[in-house]
Amino acid sequence: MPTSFDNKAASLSAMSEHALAAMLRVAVDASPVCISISDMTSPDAPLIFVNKEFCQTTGYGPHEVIGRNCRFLQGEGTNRDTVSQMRAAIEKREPISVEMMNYRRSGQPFLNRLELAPVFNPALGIDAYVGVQRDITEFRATEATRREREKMEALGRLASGFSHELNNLLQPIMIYGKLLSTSPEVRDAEFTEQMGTIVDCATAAGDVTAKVLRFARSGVASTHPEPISQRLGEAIRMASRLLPAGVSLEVIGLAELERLCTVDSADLLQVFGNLFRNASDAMNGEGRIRVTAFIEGSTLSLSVSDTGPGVPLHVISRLFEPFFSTKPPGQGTGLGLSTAYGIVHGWGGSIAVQNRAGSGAEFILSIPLQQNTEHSEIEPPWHASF
Amino acid sequence: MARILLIDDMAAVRRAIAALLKRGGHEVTEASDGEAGIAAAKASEFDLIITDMLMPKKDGTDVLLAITRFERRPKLLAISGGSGALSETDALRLASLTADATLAKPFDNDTLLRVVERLTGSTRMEQ
Ligand SMILES: Cc1cc2nc3c(=O)[nH]c(=O)nc-3n(C[C@H](O)[C@H](O)[C@H](O)COP(=O)(O)O)c2cc1C
Ligand SMILES: Nc1ncnc2c1ncn2[C@@H]1O[C@H](COP(=O)(O)OP(=O)(O)O)[C@@H](O)[C@H]1O
Ligand SMILES: [Mg+2]
Repeated sequence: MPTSFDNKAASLSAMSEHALAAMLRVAVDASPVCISISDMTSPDAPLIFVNKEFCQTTGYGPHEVIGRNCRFLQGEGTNRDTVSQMRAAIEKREPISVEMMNYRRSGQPFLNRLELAPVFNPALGIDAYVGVQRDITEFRATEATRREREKMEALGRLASGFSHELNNLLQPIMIYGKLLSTSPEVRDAEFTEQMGTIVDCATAAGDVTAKVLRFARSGVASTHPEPISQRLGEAIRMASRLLPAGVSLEVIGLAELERLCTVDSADLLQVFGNLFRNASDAMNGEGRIRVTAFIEGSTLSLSVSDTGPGVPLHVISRLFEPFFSTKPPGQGTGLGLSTAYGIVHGWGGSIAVQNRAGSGAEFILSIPLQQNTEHSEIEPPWHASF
Repeated sequence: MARILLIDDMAAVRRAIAALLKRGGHEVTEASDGEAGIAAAKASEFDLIITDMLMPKKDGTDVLLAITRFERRPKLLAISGGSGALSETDALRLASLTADATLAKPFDNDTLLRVVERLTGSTRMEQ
């Protein structure tokens, strides 16, 4: 006696060509990837089919694309070499897999991972191509962020191991340098000066390790809570003293922020000082810096923008690395932004850069605010450090 | 003049700090790790013990804990340059639970002498 399963199997195998075509059609439209078919027997290989996801992703309706070659998705950001590779593969009826920039109907770019395979059956008179497209913009972006984070963590470990070792090694240099230069037996002015230089250089080296460590560090002691307007206002005022007369400063939205924050004033000054100095450098001492502050939920957002030339795209991913600088030797140490990065991440926040539409660079800081700033931890009174 | 026990595993650093303290008029005994340091602290009386935090064998935390149990407890100053695994800030934050004061390396000569004076002088430290 046949079971119901056998019945079903029998009915499927006996499915008419017509029913199967209908089934395939529905399945292809339900697919979560874009599927497209071009007819290679017609001039310029027009599309003869696109599924629902294709229309969803590209924003075009089927009637707008059927009959056209699929190259209408390309635009000025599309790599021409990739297009040539596709053309060559298609001429030879070979499969190919590429990634390239394409554009939706709205003009919005997306990263398209396209796989093409020939659909060829001379007996049935079929000469076509099937294309499978995926929008991998978001995937690539998260991958890039992860790689970025891993790079910064690795740099942080390197910086930390290195600087701590140096901290210890610098100690005897500083002590002996000063002891020798101030030794009562020494009367020689030249000797005193030379020893003085050793001490100065060791001290400067100590400052460098401190800054590099600031980059590597995470988790920072917080201080007593104070209204954001006050604590940030003070840091911005102090940092603005670094600005030459030709640079004007505009602060928007800060005065209204009465919520409390515990971020350290010295840290804030470092961050704003570095951002301001960089902006001023980028503008050659002539232009405008704008600081905008607002709170969204429990995040404080700060934007520091300038009217300079912006950051060249090819250096944008390296900006926060310690010692990365485009400035001539002696003018830039490349530690400013890495220090700011370390500090902001120590707060549990993030710092990013983008170029503004018109001109100029914009640094965007997101700083989480504590839920309960009323009862922040107070240093034990019996501990004093120097 | 204070009687100071100085514990640091890096010989060059220890010798330099000892030289500075002697120049400051203090009497200095040196120990090259926590174990030797604790033994020295038991053997004679000191006004102040300066200990590095990150050392092989017994480290600074061991020293601080051992000395805290002494009946007549000398003043304790913890110093650290940190390591790749533990930053000096974290090491010193730990130390501050038992030590009277902490200093991050590299510190300058005047700072150390001032701290030593305040810890051992007649004026008690401000809280
Ligand atoms: C089935 C099929 C799907 C295609 N899908 C895309 C696509 O999604 N995006 C794109 O830029 N090019 C796509 N192409 C490639 C272009 O249609 C064209 O073959 C390519 O630009 C090379 O030819 P050309 O140099 O004449 O433009 C597809 C081609 C075929 C055959
Ligand atoms: N506001 C800005 N506009 C354009 N480029 C900037 C800006 N801020 C920083 N940069 C770029 O980032 C680099 C690194 O900055 P930073 O870490 O502060 O080091 P430094 O200022 O010593 O070069 C600079 O050399 C510069 O190329
Ligand atoms: Mg800078």
